[in-house]
Amino acid sequence: MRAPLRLVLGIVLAGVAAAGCKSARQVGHFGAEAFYHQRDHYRIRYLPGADARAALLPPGWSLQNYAHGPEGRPTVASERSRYWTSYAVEHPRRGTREVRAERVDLRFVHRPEPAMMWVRTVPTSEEWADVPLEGLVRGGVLGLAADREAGLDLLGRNLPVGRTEVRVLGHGPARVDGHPAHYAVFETVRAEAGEADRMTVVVVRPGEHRWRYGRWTFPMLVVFGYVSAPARHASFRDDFAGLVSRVDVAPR
Amino acid sequence: MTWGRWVSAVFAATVVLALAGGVSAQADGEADSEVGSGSASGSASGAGGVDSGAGALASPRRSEQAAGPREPTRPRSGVWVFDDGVEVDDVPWDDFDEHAMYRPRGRSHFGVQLRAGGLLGDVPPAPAGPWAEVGIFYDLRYSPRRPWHLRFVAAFSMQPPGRDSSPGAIRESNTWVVRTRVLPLSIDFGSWVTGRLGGGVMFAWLPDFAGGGDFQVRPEIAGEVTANLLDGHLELGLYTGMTYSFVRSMGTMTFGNVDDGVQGQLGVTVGWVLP
Repeated sequence: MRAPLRLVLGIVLAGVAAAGCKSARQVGHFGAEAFYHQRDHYRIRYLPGADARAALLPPGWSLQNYAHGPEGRPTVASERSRYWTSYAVEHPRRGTREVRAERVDLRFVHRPEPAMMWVRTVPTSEEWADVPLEGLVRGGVLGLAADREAGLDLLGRNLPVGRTEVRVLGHGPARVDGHPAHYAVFETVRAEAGEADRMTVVVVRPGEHRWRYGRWTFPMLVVFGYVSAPARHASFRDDFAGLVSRVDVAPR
Repeated sequence: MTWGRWVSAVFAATVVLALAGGVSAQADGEADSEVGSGSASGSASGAGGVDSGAGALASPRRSEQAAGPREPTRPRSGVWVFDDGVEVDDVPWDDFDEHAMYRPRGRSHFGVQLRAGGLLGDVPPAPAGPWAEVGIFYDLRYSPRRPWHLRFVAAFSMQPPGRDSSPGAIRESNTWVVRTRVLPLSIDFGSWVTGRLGGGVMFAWLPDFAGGGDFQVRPEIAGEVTANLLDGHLELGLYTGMTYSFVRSMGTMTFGNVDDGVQGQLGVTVGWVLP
């Protein structure tokens, strides 16, 4: 190949490679007044007066799955594998494809009191579109006790695998930004650890929004949750309720 | 056993059967302190059948969404309401992700551009010299998160005519050209630089020596590299390309012969992308 042609080809290939310099893997973005999920089905407004920091939770909570800018403002989603997962999505005509997507939309941890809070968007099969939320939440809670993946993945499989005992403390209907939801409060005890974690989860169907992958779309759920030691669980409830109360489901 | 204890026992048994199944269930008093006793009654009503629970959720109570921020509502009447009362329309919906999307915001834009530069290479009597173009364009971005887009251009250019004569012959080159271009290889290199490559068709008006003229049609190649400023609305850059100039000649033995020659283009381009 002649030298000038190689040079031109090299420039073109370098240009095409450089064209991908924008972050390709995003979960959402932190706009002027709210966090917006990249699939545009919901946003969470910042705490009042915290627009500059893009703070979704009070001090003590830190966002784990995002890199932060010099002023502490979240910038881009972390590439660490623990925040990403794969779904085997199925198309009626095109077959099944494995799709890499976010495991959690937002994952916060609290210090010094250990606690974790998360927001998670979950694609589901078409069969689940009409299943009452109560049944899905129940399946998700029961799935934690099963020593395998079963039911709605409420936590993004962030719990260590192991034999887990689940104690349901309460559950009932809820509403998030006017949309039907269901909550559950329960404790999990891993046999080998012996210590209980108490969790609250709220599962909502965000209107008619669907989880998108290219031209494929699927029913979806959004899961809000937090976990802490049982004795400290109530102290984080207002933080959790405040976060979920600032959710806006996008109009269609 | 009092009636109250009977009710409590029935309630506890219902929750255990409905929720826990094979899992150990414990509807203790602490649960009530967490989520309120009202929620427990709500869950019990739905526990006998999943459908009944869903039915209870199907009719949202708009009265609970009164305007104005308010504290998160703890479960009352069996429904835990998460809503601070701020409606979607109260806060602008800003769906532009500056870390993943390309400017300017939006999938398609019209714009105007001005180019000035020179033609390289002589096509006598057409001079190698200044050249200017004004045009409009239309950008179409396939996806706001991908760097590829497409540009259509319709432009009008002018170049100084060349004319010479010799005994028995006269030649004259074209001045006005209408150009249409498609730049399918348009790529954003990050936020600030864009490269475009494509081609088009030029329609050069070539006068004859009888007061009329005709259009000469040829393909052409065009490329440009621009810096994107002012949120992607201002483009400043360099362009290059390949075009034709046309010469009509008239002599004692010929009348209206048309010759063409290839010329290069090089210059600066300024564009304004409309919102």
